[in-house]
Amino acid sequence: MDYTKDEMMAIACGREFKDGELAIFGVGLSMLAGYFAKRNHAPNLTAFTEGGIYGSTPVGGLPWGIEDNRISANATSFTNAIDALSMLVASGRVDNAVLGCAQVDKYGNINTSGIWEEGKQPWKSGRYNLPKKRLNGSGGANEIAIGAKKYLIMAKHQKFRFAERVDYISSPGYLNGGKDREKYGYPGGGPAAIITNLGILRPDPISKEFFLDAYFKYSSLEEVQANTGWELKVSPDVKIVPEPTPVELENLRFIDETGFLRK
Amino acid sequence: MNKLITMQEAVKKYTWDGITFAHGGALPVGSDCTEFFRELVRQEVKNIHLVSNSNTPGTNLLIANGQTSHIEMGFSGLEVYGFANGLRRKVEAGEVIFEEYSNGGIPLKLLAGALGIPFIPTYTSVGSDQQYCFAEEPDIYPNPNKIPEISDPFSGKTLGALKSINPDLAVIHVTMADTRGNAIILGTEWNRFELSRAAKKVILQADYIVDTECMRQFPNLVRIPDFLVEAVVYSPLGVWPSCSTGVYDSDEEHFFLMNESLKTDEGTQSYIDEYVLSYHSTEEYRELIGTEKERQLTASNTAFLMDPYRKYIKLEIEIKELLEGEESQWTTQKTK
Amino acid sequence: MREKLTTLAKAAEKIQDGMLIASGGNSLVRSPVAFGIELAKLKRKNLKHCAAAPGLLADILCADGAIDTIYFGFTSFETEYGLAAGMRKGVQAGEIRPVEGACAAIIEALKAGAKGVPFHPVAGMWGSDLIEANPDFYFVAESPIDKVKVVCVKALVPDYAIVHVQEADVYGNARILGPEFQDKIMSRAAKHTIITTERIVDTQSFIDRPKETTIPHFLVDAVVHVPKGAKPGTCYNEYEFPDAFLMSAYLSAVKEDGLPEFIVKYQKKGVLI
Repeated sequence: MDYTKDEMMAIACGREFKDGELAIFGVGLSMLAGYFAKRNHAPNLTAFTEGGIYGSTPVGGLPWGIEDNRISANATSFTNAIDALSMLVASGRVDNAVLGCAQVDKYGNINTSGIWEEGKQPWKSGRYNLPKKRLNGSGGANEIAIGAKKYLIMAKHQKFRFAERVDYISSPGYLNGGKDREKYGYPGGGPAAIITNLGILRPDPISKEFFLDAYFKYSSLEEVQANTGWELKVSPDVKIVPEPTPVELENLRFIDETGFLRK
Repeated sequence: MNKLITMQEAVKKYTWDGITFAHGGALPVGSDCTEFFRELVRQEVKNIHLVSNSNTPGTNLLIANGQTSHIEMGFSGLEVYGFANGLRRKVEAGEVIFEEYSNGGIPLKLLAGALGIPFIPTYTSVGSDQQYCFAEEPDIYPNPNKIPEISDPFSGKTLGALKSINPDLAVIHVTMADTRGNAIILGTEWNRFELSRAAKKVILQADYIVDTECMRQFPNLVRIPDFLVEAVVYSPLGVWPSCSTGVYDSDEEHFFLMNESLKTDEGTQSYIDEYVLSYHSTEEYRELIGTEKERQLTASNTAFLMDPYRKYIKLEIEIKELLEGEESQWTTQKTK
Repeated sequence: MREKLTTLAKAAEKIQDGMLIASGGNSLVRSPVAFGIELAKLKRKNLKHCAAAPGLLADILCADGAIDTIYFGFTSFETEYGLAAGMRKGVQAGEIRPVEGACAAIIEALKAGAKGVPFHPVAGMWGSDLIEANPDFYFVAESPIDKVKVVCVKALVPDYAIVHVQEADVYGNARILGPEFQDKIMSRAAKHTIITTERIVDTQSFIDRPKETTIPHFLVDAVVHVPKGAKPGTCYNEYEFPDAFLMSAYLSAVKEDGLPEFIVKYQKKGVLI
């Protein structure tokens, strides 16, 4: 295998972007997948950050933050948080985004706020207890979750990360499944896929429960199921995801100057 | 009209124990009034109710040193630099009341404060635990009071009502300010427009002091006009270790060092001794960073953004005279 | 980025009967008049127009019978040009429904549209009869936070925003020099935006001066190069006094129901785009 699992994940995620889309990226893997897509097959993809930096590409390496100077060197517009987050994201205008998470559950709800001791989670205990581990909160991910026409979740496939129910919903996916999300009237459509380093999950159109749609060549159904914290359903037409092509790898590695995905 | 004062005077005159304090830009890696936070630490201002769009190196330090009682905040990490160690341990220990919002929620609350309306309707945070978990009333879950529901009579839809906020003081980092308090910001504005209108008082922390003629040439860029501003502090490298678009890059080495120190109380105290209590003026602060480091950080690939404005920048000696001269607002106050 | 240069005629054709449009500028300042005249030729019906202070474009379309509803805070040509003749005539004749607010009400309605929320509170508006006069636009809510009553407006989501700018590139990045009014918010609220521009400039100028970009390319459907596109109104930095002769002729033409002839006469002369 001449590519890493993280590279497979980034490429699989990048393939989900279409040319001409308006997309918002966060820092790290999200940005790598998105700018790979732009270079590889979506030259008219327009990226912006939640702080209001429009149309730029990273210069001098991946930025440390969404306002790091590396992402501010060739923008066509600088605006502000309300313009970007309220008017372009939460309004329903943005087409696509990539979100990371500490935990994700079977309805695509994301937790990036905290991990609680078993039994102490707010939903379980009926009380907002102190977290065992305070994480970072949602940032702009909540706006993306409620506003983007669709978005992708990218996460390492590990049992503790793929929970039956997240400790805290920082960014809502399909909430309790079925028609639950529709009740809230959010402008956006919800998560279209969860892409992991083992495969790709998609939501059932009726129940909204994520099932395994495809897995990577180096993995297996058994490995995926063993690393999922709920009883993962598998599509009857489950596919094997095509490996990265040499062109895709070249384009990805061009963006990933520092070899972040090869560590 | 000369609103220039020193950083020491700014904290002394405009803050008090228990103040509701907001700051801008408040980006984890990006604009923030870091030097003002160091001064808040030096002057030991306590029980601060902090309103932050995101955690920053400055808030991480303030919280680590136990000076905040109540925090309303969006993103609470340091992005690619990792978790905010100071903030994290204080929240886990229950030593602060920590209300989580999204990054879009805080600017909306400030916008409502600026517009003078009691709430602002939104889908942001609705249906998630950001709405249901209220640190002020932890026994009630799901809590209906943090972001109450409100209905739209036209469509029948239910949204959340984000409560407006009017901080007592906002200290806002800007790229350049004139002595009257007009400001131009390079890079994204983030929430600084709304913040400057929502706060009861505003102080600017500026990388450069420029001649008012600059504002006359670029009036569209003066997003914070002088009549909103109480005082201006000249603070070269004042955002360090974070970056200021168009002026200097982030100091990666110090970013890690600072966050690492804030993991423990002892480490925090060590950091304060070395990087807060060790300097007593803007000049000494700059010496602390060092000319070699300053040279590296200011060789930014965004420096071209400052080019149209360079000819308006006031010299250090002019600023010194303005601070000490008879026209200074602060000096006039002192002699009364 | 995709190139979006097109002609005034093709751009105007995008506006269909019954649409809600917003036009930028303010009164006689930087209103996209040339576009308005092109649109008037198409004889569209039942258009709705919104802006805090609708400009000459709106007035021309009112005079021409294209508009049936107008949302506004203020309509006038100010100083020596007086009230907005076309709009005034149509409202008094009962052919145009006026939905009036303080400028702030219209702006908050556009902001709500931009944010994708169905309504927005407005500070003030108390003691005004306007609230009862337009129950499909205003309502009074009780704040769930502190039980204070607050006036709210319904969101406005224009089908098209039409903005005249001084500089734009072929992809739709646009820069307004001088006062922006609510043009930025209109471009965020509207489903589509059409730009008419005094000059086409290189994209590099947007990369060099990103803070001055008013409207980013991805919000724009069409760019039309129309020098003098705001005449007989004004355009900051380009032509800063209204064309007194043309304004006078326009106001007379509206009064005497002679708008089509006025347009033909002055387009033939090369004046009025």
